[in-house]
Amino acid sequence: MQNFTKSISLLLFLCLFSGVKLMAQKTDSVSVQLADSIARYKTDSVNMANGAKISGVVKDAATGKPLAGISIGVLDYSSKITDENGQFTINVPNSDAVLLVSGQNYQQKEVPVKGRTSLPDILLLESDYNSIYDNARMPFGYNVPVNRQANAVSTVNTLGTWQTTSLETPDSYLQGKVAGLNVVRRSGTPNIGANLFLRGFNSLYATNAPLLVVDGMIYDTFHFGKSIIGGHISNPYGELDMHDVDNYTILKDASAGVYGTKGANGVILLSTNNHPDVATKIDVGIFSGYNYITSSTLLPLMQSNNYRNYLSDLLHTSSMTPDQIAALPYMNDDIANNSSYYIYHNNTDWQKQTFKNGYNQNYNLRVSGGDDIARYVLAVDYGSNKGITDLTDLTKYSTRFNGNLNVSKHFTINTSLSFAYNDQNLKDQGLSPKTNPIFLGLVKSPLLRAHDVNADGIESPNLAETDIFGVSNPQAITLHSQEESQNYRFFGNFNFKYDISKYLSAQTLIGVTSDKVRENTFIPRVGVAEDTTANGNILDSRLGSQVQRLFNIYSDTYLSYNRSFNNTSTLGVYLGARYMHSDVSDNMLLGYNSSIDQLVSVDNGAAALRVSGGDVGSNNWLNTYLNANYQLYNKYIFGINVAADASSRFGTNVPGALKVGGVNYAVLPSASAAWVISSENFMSDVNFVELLKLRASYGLTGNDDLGNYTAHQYYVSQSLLGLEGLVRGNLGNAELQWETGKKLDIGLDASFLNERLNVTADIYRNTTDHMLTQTPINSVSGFTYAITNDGGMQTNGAELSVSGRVVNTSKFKWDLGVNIAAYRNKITKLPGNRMVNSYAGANILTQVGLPSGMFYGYKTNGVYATNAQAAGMSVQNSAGTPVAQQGGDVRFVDVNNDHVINSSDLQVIGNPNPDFTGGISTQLTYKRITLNALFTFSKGNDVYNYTRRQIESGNNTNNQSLALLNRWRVDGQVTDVPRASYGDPSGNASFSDRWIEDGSYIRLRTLSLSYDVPFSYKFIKYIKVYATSNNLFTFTRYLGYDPEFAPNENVLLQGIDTTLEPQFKTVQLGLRIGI
Amino acid sequence: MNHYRNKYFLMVLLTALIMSACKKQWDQRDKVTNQKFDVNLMQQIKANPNLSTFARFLAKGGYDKILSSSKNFTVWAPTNDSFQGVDTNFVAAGGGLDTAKLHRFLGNHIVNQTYLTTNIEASARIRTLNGKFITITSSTAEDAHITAADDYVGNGVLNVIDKVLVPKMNIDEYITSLSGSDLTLQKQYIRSQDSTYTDTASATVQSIDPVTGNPILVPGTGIVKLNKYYNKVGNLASEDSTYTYFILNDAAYTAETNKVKPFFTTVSGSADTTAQLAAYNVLKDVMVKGKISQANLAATLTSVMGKPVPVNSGAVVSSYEASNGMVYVVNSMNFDLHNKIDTITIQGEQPSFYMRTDQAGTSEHTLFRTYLDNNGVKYHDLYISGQNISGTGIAKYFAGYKISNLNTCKYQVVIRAYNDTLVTHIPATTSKVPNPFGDGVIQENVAFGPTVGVTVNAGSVVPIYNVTFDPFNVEPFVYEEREIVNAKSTGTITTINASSDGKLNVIGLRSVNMYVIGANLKDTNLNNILVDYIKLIPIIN
Repeated sequence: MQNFTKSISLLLFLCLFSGVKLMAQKTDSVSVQLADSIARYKTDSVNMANGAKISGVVKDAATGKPLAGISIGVLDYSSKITDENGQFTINVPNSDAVLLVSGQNYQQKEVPVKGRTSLPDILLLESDYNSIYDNARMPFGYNVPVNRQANAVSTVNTLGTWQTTSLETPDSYLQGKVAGLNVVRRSGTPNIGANLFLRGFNSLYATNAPLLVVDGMIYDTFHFGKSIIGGHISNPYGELDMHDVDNYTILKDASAGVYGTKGANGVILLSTNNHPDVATKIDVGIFSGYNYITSSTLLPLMQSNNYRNYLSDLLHTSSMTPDQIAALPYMNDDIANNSSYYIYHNNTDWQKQTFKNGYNQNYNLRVSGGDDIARYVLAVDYGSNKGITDLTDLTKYSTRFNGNLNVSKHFTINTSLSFAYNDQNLKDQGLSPKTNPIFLGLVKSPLLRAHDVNADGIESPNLAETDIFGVSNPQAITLHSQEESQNYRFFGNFNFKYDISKYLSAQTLIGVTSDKVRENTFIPRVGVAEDTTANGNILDSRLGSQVQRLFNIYSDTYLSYNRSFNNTSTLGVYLGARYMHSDVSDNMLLGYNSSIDQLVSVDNGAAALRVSGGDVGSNNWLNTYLNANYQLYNKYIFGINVAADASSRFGTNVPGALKVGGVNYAVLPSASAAWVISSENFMSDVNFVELLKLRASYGLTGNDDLGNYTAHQYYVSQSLLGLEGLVRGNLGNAELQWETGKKLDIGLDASFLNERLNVTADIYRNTTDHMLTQTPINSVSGFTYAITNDGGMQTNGAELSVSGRVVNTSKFKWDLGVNIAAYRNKITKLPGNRMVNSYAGANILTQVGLPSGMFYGYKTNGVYATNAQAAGMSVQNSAGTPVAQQGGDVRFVDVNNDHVINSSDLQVIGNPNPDFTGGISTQLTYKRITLNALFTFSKGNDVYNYTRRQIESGNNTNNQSLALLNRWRVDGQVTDVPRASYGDPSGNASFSDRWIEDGSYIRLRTLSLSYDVPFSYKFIKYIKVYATSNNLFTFTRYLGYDPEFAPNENVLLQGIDTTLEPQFKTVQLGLRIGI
Repeated sequence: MNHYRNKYFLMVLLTALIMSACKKQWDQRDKVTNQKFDVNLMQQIKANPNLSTFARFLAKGGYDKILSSSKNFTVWAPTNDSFQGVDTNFVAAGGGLDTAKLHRFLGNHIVNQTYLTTNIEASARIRTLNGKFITITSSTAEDAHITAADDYVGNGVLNVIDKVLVPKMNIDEYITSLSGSDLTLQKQYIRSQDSTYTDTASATVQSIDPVTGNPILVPGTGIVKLNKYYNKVGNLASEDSTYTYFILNDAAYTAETNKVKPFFTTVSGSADTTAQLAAYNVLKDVMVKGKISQANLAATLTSVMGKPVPVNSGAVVSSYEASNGMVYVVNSMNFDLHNKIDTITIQGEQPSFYMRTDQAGTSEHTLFRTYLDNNGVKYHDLYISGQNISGTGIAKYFAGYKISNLNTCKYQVVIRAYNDTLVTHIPATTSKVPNPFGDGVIQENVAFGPTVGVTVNAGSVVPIYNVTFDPFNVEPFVYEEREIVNAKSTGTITTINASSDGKLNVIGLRSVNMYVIGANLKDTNLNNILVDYIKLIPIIN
């Protein structure tokens, strides 16, 4: 079946391609309708001569000089060009008409007539200005300027992204640029991307990522399968070249319902390399960058002298006698009688060894051109990017071909084909305590050294083995582990459009996505701590291989009807269907104990210890839709949308669902309306108001991320005492349905003083019904939970973005923009009303009435200074036994006053959701120099610093942070750091607010300077020089490497710092030559 | 390419940026709030002018480096005044500094790890750097008072004390140092027990013998000293445990050894051996666990060997508080001979051999039982069923016991044998085979003979009975011990004989064989053997 579909699609492509040439040759033939149009033109001219006229002057906003040659027009009615004094007089059909003003190198602008006969000066800003008349690229390929939107839609024009550093991916690029889109970069690893949350959260178990649509086709960003590289996430956004991105349009409200059950988290419409010029252009970009961290980024750790004091204190509380402690090789300072003296008497800064500054190199070539019939953009990109640890270097290749072909006057073909290949060396990160080199660099004892050393202190080139404390040698991981991810994606589509009549056209888009991620891993035996399997096998070297494949077929076919009536109203209707078939597969093989460290491929693992696994999945999705928008008098704007979705993921018996032919459909209607107050006649004298628009929308969206087979009952294989058999894999839920997202949005768009000040404000309420939950069920079923639609969630929020031009002179221009967004999330319905999960030693509370992902632990109030203060208090340990507290133990808050600290004293101690997030952008232009800066900020998000807990627990032999110098040591000492205590019997390091920190930060996210070199040479059009940097300053009180990280997409696990490669600073120089 | 140019530009840019980019959030956390934690012990000692003498000696002995290192210590530093009247002459015999002596002295004031006076419950005994222990309480260290306690600095705790902690001798060193003319004998005995052995594990291996594969050691390596007496009784040279030790002056020593000497007459009549054995017999019971002050000396203590130690506090001539205990020199210690010459108890269930050396019908009829007696006390005994032994039953079947180290004296022989008729199926007089001894009664016999000369003939041990007691009846359900009487000499060897009053008489320290013999019958269950234990009680006049 699937093969059949593939071959049909291929055949279709070939046929159409070969047809193109034939039909293109026919287009020169004479149009029959020419005579008709001449006749119509005559009658129109007569009407116009008698009709209303309006006159005005067009001037440059910066210089105030009149502009000649600017075109003025009324759509489908009249057009004029300004004279040398910038003056024009033009016929208008009625008093509600809008003049469209546009000119070379100037912005496009709309001027509503509002019944006037003469207009005040029309001031035009330059074409790059971030204007309210900028087009948003809407789902059906048409452009709607922001001032005509009835929905909450943001648009970002990238202007080619030549200034961004090569480490920017299309997801991280959006950080701080769109109000309400919270972009949290996952880590500093190149290409790792970011978690995108548009207007907070909508689901606990289904995806919260906005849908990405690239050039009209859904770009699958779903992470199928788990990486076998610790802490790694393969990022599909990394397979898009940032330089190709032209425009982002973000649908934030119910307008996302046009994508039916994939629109619950909003939609990001991304367009690449559109509208190429006819003239041939060649752009060559050469970029070179340098990644670094300053020494102040490093965490202050103990050196060997302080560390050994700490060890003495710690071991003194263990069961070892002072004599045994004194006999330990690292406590024996007698060189003559200690053959391992040189092994244990060093002062190694492991943390510093872990990080290495790196260089990036990127080359970019793009060629565009064509003629009236065919236009194209061809882009090729090569990049070699290092991270900051020298462990995560990335080599990327990408090509893209976008073509527009006018086969005939009525038939056009657009194509967009891209292929990207990434090859990245990686290391384990996050919760991999034996193999994460960054983590090891923190906890490794400074007493040791990286290499073997003999009794005379002579160092060998061999790396040292796992040390006496059982900690791996970080250098063994850094130098000898091999973890590689190779991934590629082909993403291409053809869009055929045929204009049936002036108003009606039909088009169809067909495309495929083919993606493959191949991972190979090898962790050496030497220098790495062993793992043990559940049945006691020792695992030394670890090998792995995994291949994940994705194949999608996508089509979107629709009829569109666009018409304006009597120059007073316009109507657009779109009726169509989208279909997507998706196949994923995942094959994984893990091996252990290859005989020597030179045998690194997975087949060298010991046969008895092999673990293989995998997954297959496919699903079908059909989305039928009807979308209509209607504008009356250019000031009343209405839109409706109805989607009816069917999906193989839905249950067969969804209660209350529309059933057609036995198939359940998710019917998701939405509507929007806007009133452009500023276009009303009574506003004709209020010249300082450029735009004032109120808008509201309400509608349903859906989330179909339910798991391919959750609704169905399936079996999985299981081995019992060597016999292979099948067991029930789940409880099929025939009533399983999409999550329903109700989105209400009320917004205001305003612009003042000739667009010198633009304001957009929104308040919204997103309500999720039928939210997916894991409902606990009776254990006699053999399962602990069933997947049902028994939850609910609500997110309320507000967004504000203000931007404008502060200074506008011909030489010097200063733009400033601020956006800020806040959401408040709460769970409204949950089976059992509450659940507690644990992750990385943290308890996470989900409870009705509270936001998701709350940290749930003990509150503390300092440290008991004396034994007397602690008298009578005890802490219940994991075995349920109360352990008496003593001086130097943490003073936990005893909620129920029973003098025993146990689970009934747990409280909410932190909320990972920020109070507000946003960005501040500014651009200064002086003559040919442009300086751009973007600040991003997040306020009030709590962070669980797992990493700091590992180096401040004071209960094991890990190296500790310098804060432990202030550990409690003597009766009466007042401090907030508890005593060193081996094994922590009194629970001082328990999950408590000691490890919760304020993750607020404000950061100079990017700073870039560009200079347009004055140059004139025959073959070279321009030379531009760029200097760009990332993450230059970060102001935060957070004590970890960096307050921005996202090891996990799971909503419940936000704000947990699990020791990832931190964000680093990058400085990049670039040269762009236009030929 | 433009790489090179880039670098310069980057460097300028970087310098500007690094200057301004700073991570301030740790400033409050990584600074030491208590300034003392930045100071080490040596600096803290030097900072106190009242400890300057101690500081000077520390520097002289090289301990300043140790106290500046990153290990944790607790120091009891004596004030300058406390050095008055203390022997601080660390000059070696040849001139120069007696480093060993200085280290011994300084090390006595320093221990590894930190000990806070607030955490000491009553008192604690801690090993100092010189290997000896000192006893500390919350206010004292040995006999010194702590005048300033728990001064916690970066690498440990400093306490100021008002007396110098002069290292003490341990008991072994004290014994060696004894010089009194009437204290020679015990010292002489202990020193005579000094010995050495070669520890192959710590010796240096020179080569491997190609024939045997055994290592050939470098001579003089791996030699370990030990004292045989300490080895058997308790190590007075070790600092790890504390003892109270009594030293008998020569008169007391002679009196006590003479008391026991008759019992240690040897077969060959060696006076030396007898003296050695008598000395050990006396001295094994002059060592008591724990350190007992003179005021707490009870009239009777228990020695480490579990014997009563008669203490007459009036007999204490002098005492010494050693680093590992107390030493009392006494001029008399009147041991009770009954505690010195031991009763020998032979457990019935531990026979050395049987009549038959083969498996001819013996093993399946021999039971080692565990039962409760009439008082509910668990006991183990030997039960050999006469039923079908060797197919037909053997008359006078026996179990043999090798008993060693019999003293030279007369022994009373006592047996306990528990006859639980119902279990052992001993027939009544009225049964088909009538029981000649009475209802449920069996008859046993005990005999003694030499260990040498016993032969085996056709799987059967041919015993030598030198002393034979009267056969005795074992009546049912009699739990008490009973004495076996009327020993008669039945052999030719005179060193094991029957005394005129019918007891076992042993001449010369020796081993003997004891036989427990069944009745002279072949009938089933009539020739059973039952024995819980047999005691040989020395008869001391």
